[in-house]
Amino acid sequence: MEEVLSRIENGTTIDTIAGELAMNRSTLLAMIEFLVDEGYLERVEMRCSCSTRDLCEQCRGTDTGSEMAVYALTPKGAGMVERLKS
Amino acid sequence: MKLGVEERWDLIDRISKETVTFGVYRHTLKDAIGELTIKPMTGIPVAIAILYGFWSVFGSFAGFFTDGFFVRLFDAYWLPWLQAVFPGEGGWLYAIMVDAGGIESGEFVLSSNCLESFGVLTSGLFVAIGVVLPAILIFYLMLAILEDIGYMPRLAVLIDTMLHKIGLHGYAIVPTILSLGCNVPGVTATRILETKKQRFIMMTLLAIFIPCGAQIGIMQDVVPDLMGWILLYLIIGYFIFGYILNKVIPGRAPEFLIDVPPYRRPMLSNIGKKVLGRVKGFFMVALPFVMLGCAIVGVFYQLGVIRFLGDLLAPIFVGWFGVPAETAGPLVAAFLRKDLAVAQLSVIEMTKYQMITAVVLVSIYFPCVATFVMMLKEGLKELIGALAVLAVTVFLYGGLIHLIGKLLGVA
Repeated sequence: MEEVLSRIENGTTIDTIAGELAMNRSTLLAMIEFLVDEGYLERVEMRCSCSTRDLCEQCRGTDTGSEMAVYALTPKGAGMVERLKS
Repeated sequence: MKLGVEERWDLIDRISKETVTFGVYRHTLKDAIGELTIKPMTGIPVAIAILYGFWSVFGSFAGFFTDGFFVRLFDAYWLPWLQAVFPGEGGWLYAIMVDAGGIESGEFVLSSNCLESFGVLTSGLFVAIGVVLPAILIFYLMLAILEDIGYMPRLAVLIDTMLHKIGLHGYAIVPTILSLGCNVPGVTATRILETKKQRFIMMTLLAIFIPCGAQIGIMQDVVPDLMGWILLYLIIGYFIFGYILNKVIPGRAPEFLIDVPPYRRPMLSNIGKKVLGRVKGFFMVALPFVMLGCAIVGVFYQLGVIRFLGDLLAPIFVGWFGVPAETAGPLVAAFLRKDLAVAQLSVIEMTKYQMITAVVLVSIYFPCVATFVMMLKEGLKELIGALAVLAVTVFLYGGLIHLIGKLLGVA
């Protein structure tokens, strides 16, 4: 789990980390969900949050598909990464 | 026996490896393309090729419909017809709605084309329908195709490292590209960014350095040979000032982990919905402000406000930005109508470098009224902050462009 956290950096994808750790993609996804539950990562909502209908019409394309998932390091996760690196 | 978290995950991985049988997965062409477009060595040249193709199709399509159809329709039929039937030639209402005209040998002369007439029903409609409509239609069509294929997440991964240098992340490419069509949905799309710092940086950069479809369309129409230089200056400014904002503004820009979806076959109905929704959105939300801006500029011209401000600010434009004094009027009018300001600049005699400087200034000057309202909706504090950054940026960057020209001996 620490290995996964410490590998999260700019431009990383789940496939890249799974390849680097020789880990099954499904296991890695389960681990990421666990990290989300524990507050180390947060799942970023990519859909727009317009309050008016007209603007939502315009922003419909800003979500890049239901299969898309983006996770950001939370301050707790970033703190853990800092500790791991030092 | 009690296992720690790490040991539990190791155990899960071991059990899944021993108990789950995975079939041999054969790499498909789709996988190979997916990898090629995400690894920097191959992904960056592919991204450049795709964006170049995007630009080429945009320019050809918009140019074909604007020059080949709408210019003739508006200049040969619509303008002469309105000039003839609208009552009160030479009056203030005629000037605002149809044709401001000009004075030649002491006599009032009507304009020969819609770009020079500056009327709400002539220039205003021509820019909206003849220039902007083809531009945003092809722009949003190509963007929708790239989104539906699944290329945008890959572009986001590729550009992620670069955008982290300016406090953003790969997905900032979405509002950036959307803004190239219209800044209004671009500003709204900044909500996909997580932190206040990121949203502020993005909104400010969009308002300053990203020209919208209307501006790009008109620039492509009146100064096509200078487009490359103008866009280069805007891109450089985007990164320089993004870097500075990232250093100056407190707040965090978190690291990212992206699960990239596979490539998909685009659905025609989905693309159609997106394009129609966005074009409709532009015409309903942004266009009324564009027409209003046209009317206000017309009134200000009639009242002499633009000339007064132009004369007042001319020393700054000439001395600091290095552009001719005649550009002061259009640059002041650019507060309300950037597209028409570019058209006005195109008829002023100046060097190529001065033209590049003047058009870049128009682009970075001030967000259009519709964008301004959208920024206000995002928060008054953010709007005031963005405008303060904008004022400083215009002054510094305009001066820097002039300085570069002087050093190169072209200004």
